[in-house]
Amino acid sequence: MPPLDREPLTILLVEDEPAHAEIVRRNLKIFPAAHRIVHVEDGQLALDYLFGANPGPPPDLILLDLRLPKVDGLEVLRQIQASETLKTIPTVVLTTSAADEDLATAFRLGAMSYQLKPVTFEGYTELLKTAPPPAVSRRPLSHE
Amino acid sequence: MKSPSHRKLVAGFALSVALIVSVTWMNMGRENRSQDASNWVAHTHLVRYSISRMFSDLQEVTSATRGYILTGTPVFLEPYYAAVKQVGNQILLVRSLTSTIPEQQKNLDALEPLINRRLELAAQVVRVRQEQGFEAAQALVAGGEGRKTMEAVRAVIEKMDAVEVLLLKARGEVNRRGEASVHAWTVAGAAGSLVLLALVFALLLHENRQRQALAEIVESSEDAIIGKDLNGIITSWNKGAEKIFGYAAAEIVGTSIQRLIPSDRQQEEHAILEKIRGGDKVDHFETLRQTKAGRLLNVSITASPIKDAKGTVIGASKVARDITGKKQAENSIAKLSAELETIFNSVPTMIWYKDDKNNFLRVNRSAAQTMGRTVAETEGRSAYDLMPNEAEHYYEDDREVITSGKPKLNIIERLPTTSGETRWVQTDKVPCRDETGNIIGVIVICADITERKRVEEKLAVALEFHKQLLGNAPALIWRAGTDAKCSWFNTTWLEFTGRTMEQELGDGWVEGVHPDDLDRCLKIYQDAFAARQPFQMDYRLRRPDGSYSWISDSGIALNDVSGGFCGYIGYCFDITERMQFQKELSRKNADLELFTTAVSHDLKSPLVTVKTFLGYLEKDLDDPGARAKDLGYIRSAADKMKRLLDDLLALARIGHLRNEPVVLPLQEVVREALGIVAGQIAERGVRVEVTPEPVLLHGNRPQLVAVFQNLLDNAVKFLGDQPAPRIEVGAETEDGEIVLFVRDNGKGIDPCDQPKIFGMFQKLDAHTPGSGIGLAMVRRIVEAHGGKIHAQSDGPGMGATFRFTLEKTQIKFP
Repeated sequence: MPPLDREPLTILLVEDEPAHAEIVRRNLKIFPAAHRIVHVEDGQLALDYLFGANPGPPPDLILLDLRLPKVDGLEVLRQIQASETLKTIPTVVLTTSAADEDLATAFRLGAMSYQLKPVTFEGYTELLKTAPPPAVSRRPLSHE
Repeated sequence: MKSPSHRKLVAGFALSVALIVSVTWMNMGRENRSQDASNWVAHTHLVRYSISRMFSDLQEVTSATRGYILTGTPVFLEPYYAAVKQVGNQILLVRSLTSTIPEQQKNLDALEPLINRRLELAAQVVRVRQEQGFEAAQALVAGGEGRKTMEAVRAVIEKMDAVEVLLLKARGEVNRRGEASVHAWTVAGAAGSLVLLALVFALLLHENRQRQALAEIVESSEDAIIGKDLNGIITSWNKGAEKIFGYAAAEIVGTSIQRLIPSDRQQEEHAILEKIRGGDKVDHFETLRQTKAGRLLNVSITASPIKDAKGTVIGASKVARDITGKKQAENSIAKLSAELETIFNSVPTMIWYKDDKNNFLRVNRSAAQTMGRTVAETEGRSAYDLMPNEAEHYYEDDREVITSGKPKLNIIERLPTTSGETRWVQTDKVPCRDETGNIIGVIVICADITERKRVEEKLAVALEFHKQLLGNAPALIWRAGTDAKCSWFNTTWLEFTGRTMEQELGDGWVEGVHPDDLDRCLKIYQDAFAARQPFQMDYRLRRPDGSYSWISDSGIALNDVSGGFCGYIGYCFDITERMQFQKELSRKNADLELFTTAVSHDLKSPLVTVKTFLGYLEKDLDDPGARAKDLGYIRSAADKMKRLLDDLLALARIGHLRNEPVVLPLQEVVREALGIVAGQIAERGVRVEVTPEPVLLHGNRPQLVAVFQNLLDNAVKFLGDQPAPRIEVGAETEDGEIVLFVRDNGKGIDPCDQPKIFGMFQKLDAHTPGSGIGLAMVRRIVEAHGGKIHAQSDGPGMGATFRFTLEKTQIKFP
């Protein structure tokens, strides 16, 4: 299915820079599908969303900034990959520099791909292609 | 020559003959005056005497012969000839006396051939002795015919005597009375004659024994004893001669002595014979003679004249002794002596003998030369003359050796020379003994060690120099033996550790090594030793004040001059500063890395924002609401960039600004800082308390202000929702050090954030403004001022305290 007319996805955006979050939000609006964006501003909030006492709906795609307050992006990634239920969720790292050393670490930890900020239209197309179709019977996340 | 015993013999013999003649004459006189019967008795006695006399004469012949055989001396031939003559006379006498008795005539007929035979045998023996020598004569005698003949003679004589005895009995009856006196005379005369004859016989026997003993001596002598006549004809030749010259007696007796003389020395014999003829003796004449085999011998010859009864020289006895061995020995001794003399004078070693009075008896050339004298100038002189200053010292050692009888070796002493220069010598003194073992002085053997001594002195100076060099070198230096135990530390080391050499020796130094470094260091040290490889190790070594300094220790195996392993030497340098620099450098490197990241990420991030929103702005120009929003993002990003650049600039400035350090009160610094952050303080309504204590800070004013500004700013940022926010700035003494602190009652620090808070660009909270450079800058400034900083917090909600030290901070009371 072409990405432009695929069914809407739930996307977890972990980004501390409000401007960058706004950019992601604005760009995804271009696509026809009404993708739902859950934006958290630091690593701890991301972990709370995924593993907290009241986890949000499981995302189909995680867009993760690496330089985050509280708990950094690599740690978030490590915990996602440690979870049997969550590690199948494609995680795409957002970075301002392809030379970032942390990128290599991110790939080692299981990141699917990365996108250089600002993400272009082609970038988003690529992003949406990588995500699998949303699981119909996906249950809300919970600590098991 | 006539011996006294010979005279006694002749006298005794003559006396006995005279006695017999007188008795006979007396008896004949009485015959006229007495009866026939008594005459006949006397006659019979005479007959008996004559018969026995005849026998004894015959015995005399035998004994004279034997004497001659034994000695070969013609002297014995005289009694022989006399006795032979006498025997003949006696036979005639007995025949005439018994002419009236046919039986006796008959007996005489039987006796005469026997006696003749015996005389003939004697003559033969004499001849053989003369012609063939002793052995031949001896063999002839041993044949036993003489003895048998003698026995036969005796038997006949006994028969004759028995006849006479019977006659005497018959006549005696007739004559007994009248003949008493005559008989007495006859008996007395006969007895006297017999006594005299017995004496003569005893003398003869004695002489004979002496001669035999003499003969044995002659025979057994190792020397050659040779008899010769005046013509040089050999007349006797003993075993010694045979042994020395190789000729048997039989083959040389009767030949000329010149056979023994080498042709070039023939005239010697003439001279010797000349002397002998003059009755002189030749004593110990050493010359050469020739053996039968033609070998030349060194001989010592003594020749004495032999004289007959009248004192006429008739020959010579010659004693020759083989002195070849002695000559050879003498030659060897002379050669050896010459060799020893050569060695004595050509060895470079100095040798001399001294008596027990410190006088030089013999001095070799080397010794004399070293003393600057000639041998002649030193031998026989006293040490007190030659070297007055040292003589007594030398004599002490001499006496010790002489008294103890033991050598004294390796004496190192001075030997003065005539040039005034003193030579150093190594002397051995051993006792000098005479043939009987008495110590009569000392033998001194002496080696010139002046050069060695000079080298040793130079070496000692060099050693001292190197010892000082090493001792005071800026490095810490140690030495270890082959057993890996330390044997020396230089002054620098000892001053560095504040310990004594005794404490550090062996394994003592190990006590100063930091416990955490000890095992590692010992392993490196021991492994290197075992492999004799160089090693290098860094460890902490305790200083006198108990603190530790890092040192870098490099050890290397040492070889002695012969190339053998003789231990290790090590050099250590204090690398504490280097370690600090390294630490500093690595931190700076880390900072630089963060800076790079900041430039590539933290600066790029707002740039991305600006660029992107400028794009949105273009589209949103007609939408005032959207336009304002875009501009807001752009402004915010620009502000962030400005702040970041400002902070980076401030951070860079810490390392670059070289403001002169100043001393200023804490309150002044804090006041300036508060002025900068006054806005935030007032906005949040924070109460700030600053200690009134007179704390004086020392350092770079703007940097010190920046420290407090950032700490205050940081405290305000993290006050959280504290309703009564309060910040306290103060100083307190901890372990003798002034510690400054900035304490707040805000939300505190999460333990997991503690390690990160001083890192660059570390923002702990997304909503808190700031570049994340502030605390990194604070640490840098504190460290640049020789201090340390750390944050304390009992956890979230419990507030935080930043404690730090600055070098040269003091609390000064007015």
